[in-house]
Amino acid sequence: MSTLTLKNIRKSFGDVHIIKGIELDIQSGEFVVFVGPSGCGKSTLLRMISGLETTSSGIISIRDRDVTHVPPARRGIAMVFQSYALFPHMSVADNITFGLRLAHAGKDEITKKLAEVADILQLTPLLDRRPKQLSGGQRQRVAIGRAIIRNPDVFLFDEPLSNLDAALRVQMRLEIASLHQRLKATMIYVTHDQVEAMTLADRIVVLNEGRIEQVGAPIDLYEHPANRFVAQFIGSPKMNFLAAKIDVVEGRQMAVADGMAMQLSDEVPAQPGEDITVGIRPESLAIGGEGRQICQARIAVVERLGSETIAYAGVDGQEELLSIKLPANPQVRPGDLVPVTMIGQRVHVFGRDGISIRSQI
Amino acid sequence: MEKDKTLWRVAMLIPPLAVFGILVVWPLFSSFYYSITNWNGFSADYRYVGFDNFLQIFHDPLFTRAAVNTVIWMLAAVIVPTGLGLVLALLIDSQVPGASVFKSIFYLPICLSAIVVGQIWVWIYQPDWGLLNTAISLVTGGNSHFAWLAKPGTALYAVIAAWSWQQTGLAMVIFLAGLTAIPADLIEVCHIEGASSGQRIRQVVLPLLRPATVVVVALGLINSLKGFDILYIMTGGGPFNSSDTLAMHMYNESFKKYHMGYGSAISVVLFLIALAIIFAYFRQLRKVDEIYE
Repeated sequence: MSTLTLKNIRKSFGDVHIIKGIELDIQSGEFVVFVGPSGCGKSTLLRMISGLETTSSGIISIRDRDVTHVPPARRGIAMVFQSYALFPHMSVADNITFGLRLAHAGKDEITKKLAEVADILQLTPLLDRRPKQLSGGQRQRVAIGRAIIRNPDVFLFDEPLSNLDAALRVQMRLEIASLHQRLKATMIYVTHDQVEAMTLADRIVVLNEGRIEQVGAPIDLYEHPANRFVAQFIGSPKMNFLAAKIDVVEGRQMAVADGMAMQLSDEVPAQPGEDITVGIRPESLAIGGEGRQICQARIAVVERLGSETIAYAGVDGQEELLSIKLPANPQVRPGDLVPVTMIGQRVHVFGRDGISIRSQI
Repeated sequence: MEKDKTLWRVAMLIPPLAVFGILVVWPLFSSFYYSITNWNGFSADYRYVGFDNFLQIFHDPLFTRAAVNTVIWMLAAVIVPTGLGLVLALLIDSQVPGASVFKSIFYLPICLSAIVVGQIWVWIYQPDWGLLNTAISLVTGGNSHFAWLAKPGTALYAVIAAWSWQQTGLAMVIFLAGLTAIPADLIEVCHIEGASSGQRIRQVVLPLLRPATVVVVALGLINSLKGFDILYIMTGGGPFNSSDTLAMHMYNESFKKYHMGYGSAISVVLFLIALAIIFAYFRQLRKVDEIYE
């Protein structure tokens, strides 16, 4: 059953169009992540779903009920903010039970629900503390507790981990994932961090300039990006793009550029001489080895990350450096001229308009 | 080089320190000194009287009257501008039409000196053609000539109204700054959790305005304790000492009755009260910091 439906949702501030016609169905229990660069409209869209932002046109339905013009409190949603949004003058317990107390819920009901939520989030020993006495992770758990206690139809998370340090972010990410598995609730999560999107989402919605670029399971977006924008946004380090032309050599379709030639394993619907962009993920490239050599490149920078190394290399005729994911400690140094080879045949081909002509695997 | 810098810094500090010393520190310690003498303000012939001046305070019915008036004055001069300033700030913050114009209008009186404000209100209260009596006459259809500043029952409260008119703008601006400092997402949580306007103000806005409230109340208390000029221009402490406050009483004893020693003793009492308020203020500020910083 569909929990949330967005029909042709638009949002404008005067002549500035922020959201340009979003169509989306979110199923019950799904974990959907809105991802995109700053200013793409993902937070605005979330705030429109919450009711904190009005909708210029379109229909928002939650559990088949049109809530487009319903106040936030009556939409059946709960929201977790980036800044935690905890009341500094209230204890943890009072923060969590804020909504219940406003609704004049019975004391027994409040006590029971508070105990349940505190138990789920391991907040029981902290209930009497003030937010100032908590760590960043604990504060975020309190904010999540305030959302859980409402028992909403849809949880909304607005970049909830952005204020945490890297280690805590990983820990909280795991906690949110296990919370979703436990509650089996519908969750919409906004982030600009594609790693968070890939690890948490059942489905990812990639947004750009107020439009949906692609919706799909994380692995689908990774393997079959619909266009260059999605291809470069999903995956870390980002996909390499090489400007090339279609050529046919000995009856075989090739992507060729200065100092580079790459045979395409399957035919793509493009004519010889047509400009294309070839997309290759850094993990599909290697230096030397048994793969097919596609070009020579000069190493510019080597980033040694411990478990792996990322080498950035310049290719004649290409504007951007090629990033190549290598094993932990390869024998490469800046200035080396190396043969770049393909591992497997994972190549993406994009037309001049940036739309994927075909992903080849 | 470093020595030159130090000398230069000391040289630049001397003028302001000298002014502060001559105009603040010297008179302060002079007051302490004269409070234990029977100096009349002119004669070089005066002597040490120990704590006689302070003991006299307990037998001075006018001091008692002034102390009671000071308590009424301070309470009213803090509560009224604080309350009105808060209401105006909440209204302006709720984006009523013309909010910025109202903000400027309400703030304007604080830019005027207390003497000007006092004179404006003397005219407003004028029995025959003052604005207040004229308005009452128009509304009631009668012919009001009430002497607001000449009746012992109304004089002090009439000055309190004038004082509040001036001070409300200051309280409003401080509360507005406090309201601006409340993070927008805390208010959004109220919308999501279903708080009514009343619940939002009571449970979230007012507690979050506590830092601003501490500043407004402390400033109000200290300013009201200093409140002399507006009383001087409007009533001079009269009629029959009905609007006499401690500051007014100190002035009358020192400069009208030439009891400089006794007047100094009253000023020492006022100084100690102000000191106690400032200590209480800093304690409150520390508590507020513990919660909100």
